Amino acid sequence: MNMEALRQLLQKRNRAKDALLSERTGLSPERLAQLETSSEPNLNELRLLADFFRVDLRDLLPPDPRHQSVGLLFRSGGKDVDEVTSAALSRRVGYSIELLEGEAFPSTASWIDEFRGGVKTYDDAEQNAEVFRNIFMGGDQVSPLYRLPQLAAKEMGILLFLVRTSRFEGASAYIENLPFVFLAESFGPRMLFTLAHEIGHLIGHHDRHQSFAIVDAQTEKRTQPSKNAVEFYAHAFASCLLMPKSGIGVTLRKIREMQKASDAALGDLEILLLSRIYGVSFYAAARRCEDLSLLPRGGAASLNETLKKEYGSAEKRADAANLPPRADILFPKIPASLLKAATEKVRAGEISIGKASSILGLSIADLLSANAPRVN
Amino acid sequence: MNIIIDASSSINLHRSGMLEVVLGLTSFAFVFHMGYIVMGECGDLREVLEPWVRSGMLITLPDNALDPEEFADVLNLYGLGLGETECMALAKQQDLCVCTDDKAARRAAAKHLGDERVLGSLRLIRECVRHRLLSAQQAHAAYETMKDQGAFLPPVSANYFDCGEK
Repeated sequence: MNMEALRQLLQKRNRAKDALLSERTGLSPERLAQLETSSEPNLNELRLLADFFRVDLRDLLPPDPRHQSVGLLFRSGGKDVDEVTSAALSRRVGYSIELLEGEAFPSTASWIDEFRGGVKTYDDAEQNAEVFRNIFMGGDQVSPLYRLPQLAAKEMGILLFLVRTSRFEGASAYIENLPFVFLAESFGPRMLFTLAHEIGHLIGHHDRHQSFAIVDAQTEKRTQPSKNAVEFYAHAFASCLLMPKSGIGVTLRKIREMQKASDAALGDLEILLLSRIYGVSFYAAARRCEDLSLLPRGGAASLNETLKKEYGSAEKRADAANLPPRADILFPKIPASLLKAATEKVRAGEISIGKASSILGLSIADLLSANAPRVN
Repeated sequence: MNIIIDASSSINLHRSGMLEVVLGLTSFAFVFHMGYIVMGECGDLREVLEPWVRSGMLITLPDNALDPEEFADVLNLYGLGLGETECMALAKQQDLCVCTDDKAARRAAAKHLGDERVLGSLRLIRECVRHRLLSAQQAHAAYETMKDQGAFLPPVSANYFDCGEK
């Protein structure tokens, strides 16, 4: 049994919710204390705890030795990731590789070679973001990029998974020539930024013949380049990609024309409008304005705090000001290539429905429905 | 016959309107079981199952009697899903037959328990015909519905269900 993973979960839990934990699982505080230190749980207890903490039961069982090597690769900010997260991601990656074995996978990310390697600086990120828009958007350096999820999944061949977790915002890996991105389900704009951030990792890593895997606890706050160059670059790339310099210039000019505004300093409503147009959070938009010298240094954080204090959140401020609503950003639920491979392999008896369902993160009922013949 | 049923069979039977009919076999010495993990995998169907659990037509088996290490061994050995593995582990422990509509799970269960202890929803439907709970025609229509709903089932002719009416 993966006692280390279980103890980590129990030891790091929010103890204010212990009454709820006992109520939901039926495990007494005494029993929880025993499990936290020495006692071994039975399968029923493991299942109840896995349900409560929203982790897969497999993550609390001894790992499949075939998938352990991938787990060793996952890191977060240079540190090891907690056992449960690492196990869950490794399992998804390991199973996906198994599933796609022998499949003619459409892309092995040859696009990576199109980008500049050895990238570290903000200017590097700006240049690679332009290259990205040249390759995948026909050179459009202005428009918002709401279709990044579809582009990543279809044209870039990234195996994009949505996961229900609060342990991390995003993760990416390049293993056995397959690019993976995991996104925690949350506020759409935040997910879009995280996706761009993870693509930044894939591009920044650059070497498609060498594996890597990384987990990001949070992606919108930027680290100093001296502290973590990899994270700095991924953040800068996301920012430049989603809010292209030329686009910001054109959009702000139009906003000011409509408002008949003068050359006064950039205000919160203009940034909020930018954030809604480009499908990013207020903080991400403000930070980009800071980088483009449209706001003083520290202005993004300070404005964000002010809006939180005065309105509850930046989004509430935008709603109160009747700004146009955000456009929907759609994320594919599962990689289409995996779904196709999974249904074919289930039909052939190469993998079971239950296993396919866990690889895809799809319920058994949904997987059966996906196999239903389609009538044109 | 003591049977433990997995999520694929439960969902297929439910979607074809056959689950209640099949549970009617309890009047003919069939006993149906379901593990807690499978119950969870059934999703929305769980609500439909609850009254049958309360009435005793479906017996739920807690998994506290299963050793996690042994469970993990079976899981890693056959590489199935959690519910399918639970079915096999409980079937082995409590001397039950496994009902699954999954090809890989059937093969693994046959290896783990023996061929004679593995069946699928179509066999149960045929038993319903044999015990005059259904006509062969209704049985075949149910099979067609299952296929239309995405069941991973082999091709079966209408004759397969005829034997029960002889």
